[in-house]
Amino acid sequence: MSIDKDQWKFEVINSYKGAKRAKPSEDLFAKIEQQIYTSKHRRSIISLHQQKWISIAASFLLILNACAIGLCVKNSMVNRAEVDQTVKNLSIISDYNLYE
Amino acid sequence: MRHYIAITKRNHGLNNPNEILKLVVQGDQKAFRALYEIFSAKVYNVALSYTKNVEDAEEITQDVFTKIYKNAASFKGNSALSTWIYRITINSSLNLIKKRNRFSFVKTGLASTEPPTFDHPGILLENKENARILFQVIDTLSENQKTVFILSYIEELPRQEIADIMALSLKAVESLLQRAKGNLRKKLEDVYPNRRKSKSKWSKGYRLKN
Repeated sequence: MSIDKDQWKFEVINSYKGAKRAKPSEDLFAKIEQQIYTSKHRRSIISLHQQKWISIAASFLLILNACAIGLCVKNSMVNRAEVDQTVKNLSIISDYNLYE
Repeated sequence: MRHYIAITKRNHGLNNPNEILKLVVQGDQKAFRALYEIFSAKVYNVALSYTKNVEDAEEITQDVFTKIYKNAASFKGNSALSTWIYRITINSSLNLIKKRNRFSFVKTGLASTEPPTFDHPGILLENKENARILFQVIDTLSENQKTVFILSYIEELPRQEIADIMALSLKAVESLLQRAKGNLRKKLEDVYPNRRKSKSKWSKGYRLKN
């Protein structure tokens, strides 16, 4: 009985001996090529998507810059008006400076 | 090596798989086909031994060759090309098994207990029943023992090549193999009395105690 059992175990452990290699299906290589092609193609789609977002971000930045420049120009015009007023005031003061 | 030469001459006229890989890096589709013809059976059979499922084995083979194509440039030649490819295959197979086990736990709420029966397409008819038991018992081994057993008994690789693939010493591989065989024999002890009682259980598949 013990010899039978050991023999049986030996046969089970070696049951793969003499087996032929299994082969994958004929169309597997085509599927692999398709998978590679799809992943390459997906990359180009993503970059187009990214390009869209980049252009939106760039436009946004341009608008922001334009607003900033506009504000700067406005501020500088206000400052000039103040400077002109100050200069005018000074001349008024100096006109009335009796003790020079 | 003669096998490689016969296939490569038929496909591309090159003698060396490493040379073929260099052409794959340059995007040569014929070279990639040649590489596939050399290694697809090895990759598929290793995957089949792990997964015991034809669809899963094909999925793994697809993933492995996709990885080879994408990462061909990163292969430095520090090991044999076959060693690199075997490693990718083993890692992909083990990852898929872990993924399947996770999902089966979520589905059923219990760890997967009933191993499916598997009829390897290449097994001789007289060995089919024993092979069915063998593949069930292999599943109960730890990852390293399973890998060593599959590479040694199923792929029939030399021990040194197994050591290179698993990045272990030769002694470690031999020790793992001894433990794997010992554990398989212990598991088969549980199977043997039940096999004598009822043969019909074996045709359906019998759940082994882990």
